[in-house]
Amino acid sequence: MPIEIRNLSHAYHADTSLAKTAIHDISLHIGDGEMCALIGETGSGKSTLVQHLNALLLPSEGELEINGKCIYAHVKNTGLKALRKEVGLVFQFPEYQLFEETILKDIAFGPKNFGVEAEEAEAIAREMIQIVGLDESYLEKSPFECSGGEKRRIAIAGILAMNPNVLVFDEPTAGLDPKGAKDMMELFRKLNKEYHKTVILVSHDMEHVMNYCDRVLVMSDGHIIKDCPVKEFFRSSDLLRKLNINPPQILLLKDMCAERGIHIREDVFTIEECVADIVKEVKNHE
Amino acid sequence: MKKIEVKDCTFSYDDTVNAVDSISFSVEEGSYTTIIGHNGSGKSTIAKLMIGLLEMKSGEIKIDGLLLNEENLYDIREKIGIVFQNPDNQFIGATVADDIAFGLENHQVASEKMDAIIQEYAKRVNMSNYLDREPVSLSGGQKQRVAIAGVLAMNPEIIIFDEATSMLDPKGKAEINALIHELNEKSQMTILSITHDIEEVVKSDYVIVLDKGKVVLEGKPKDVLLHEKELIDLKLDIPFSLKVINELKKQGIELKKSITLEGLVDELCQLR
Repeated sequence: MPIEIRNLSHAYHADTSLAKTAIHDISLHIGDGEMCALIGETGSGKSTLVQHLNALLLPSEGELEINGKCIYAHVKNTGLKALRKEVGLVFQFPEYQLFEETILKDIAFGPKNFGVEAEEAEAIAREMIQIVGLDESYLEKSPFECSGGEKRRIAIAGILAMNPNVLVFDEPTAGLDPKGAKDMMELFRKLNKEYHKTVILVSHDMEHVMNYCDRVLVMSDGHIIKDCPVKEFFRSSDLLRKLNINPPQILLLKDMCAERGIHIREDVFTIEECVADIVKEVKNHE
Repeated sequence: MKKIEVKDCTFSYDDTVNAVDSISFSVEEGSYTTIIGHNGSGKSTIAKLMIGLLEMKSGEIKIDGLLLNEENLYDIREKIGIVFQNPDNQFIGATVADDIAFGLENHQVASEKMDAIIQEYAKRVNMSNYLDREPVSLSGGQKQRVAIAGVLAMNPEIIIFDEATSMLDPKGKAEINALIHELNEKSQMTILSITHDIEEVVKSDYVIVLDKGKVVLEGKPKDVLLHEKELIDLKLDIPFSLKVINELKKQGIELKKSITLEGLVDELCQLR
């Protein structure tokens, strides 16, 4: 049940003198279980695009098909609620959206809202809190007593409780300390690999994109200007510079080594592989 | 000369845990000092204490030799400005010009003088062409530049950046980092930057590491960042070059520790 986007355009303030087209004629296929990065400068259209995935925005032109459900431009679309269950959208700083007295109630809110019985909603909450890496003792606490990283996990548990097949995270590690950011990325990997969720990560952090995603979509000015496997994307820092993207540290290291005659293979992306190449070079010289 | 002196300073939000716990440190005039620490280590609390947004339970803070107390508060706020994390939470004017003017109005700067000051600082942050723009039409990086212009218009000697680039895209981040370095190098402004960006720390003059509201490590980055185990235990990061050097060691190649990629590559070249 993949995501199919066909000729999608979206204009804000359509039919007024302020009309501004934020995304232009985008066509895209995202298969089940993919872990995709969506990158691009502020204002390039990333948020506009992802808000279509659960019908927070509706197309001005074109259509989307998500897990078999279609949304079209120029018609009154029905069944949007079902679609919103399929796609969980996690905004920046999702912890600001926590509101209930207890974490249990907060996580159970979504399922209840979709008609799940109270008892079952609580059972779901118990399961979800563990998936996000917190234990059941948290459930009776107030979400506001928790740390920033914990609050963010609780907010994500609330989204997971709706059992969406697709998860979209918008800058999920902004403001977290390095350990918190790494733990968060490991959680997304687990959701992708073990729970088979399709994950779309909107991020500015190229280290995360390189280390955790399989595919990179680059947006600029409302268009997708690059769509390729992650290894192809990070093969050369030239492409990245052209796209105005800061290369990850490992690419900088490879470039500096190349200048000084130390050769590291193009498709090397981890410290371990990189070091293996350096060791080989050094041994060759001895 | 010490531009900021914090001595035995304690603060608690709820009287049970001290968010800042008898902390002491100082910041040299004209330095680029960074503060790192995991979420909840007390970084932002100490920033708010320094500008008098929070009142400490005990201890003392001196800004440019002046004791922070109720009497001196307004004089101190002339000397020290702060830029916060979220560009949307600190834009108060209806337009860029209004926003830069806000602090000046509070200081009852005569309106005939104000225009020139606004122009000057808008130019300084490269926003001259945006004076009539509303915040909604600006990028995050542009909003942060306006926030900086508003602070600069007050002519402070010290600016605190509290994770001021963490919500910006790489371009916005690079713009703001370049501006901060320029303020430090060309205008000799004292910069205190609270950050999670380890590569920013590498480039700073001095780094202070906080945990549980106390200073646990401090010194030059090239010394402090070599305390790798402590940093990782504190949920912090270490420079990329050290990660590579550690992996090389596992493979039987021992290099002198360097916190920069340049240093690492120099060392690698020595091997041949």
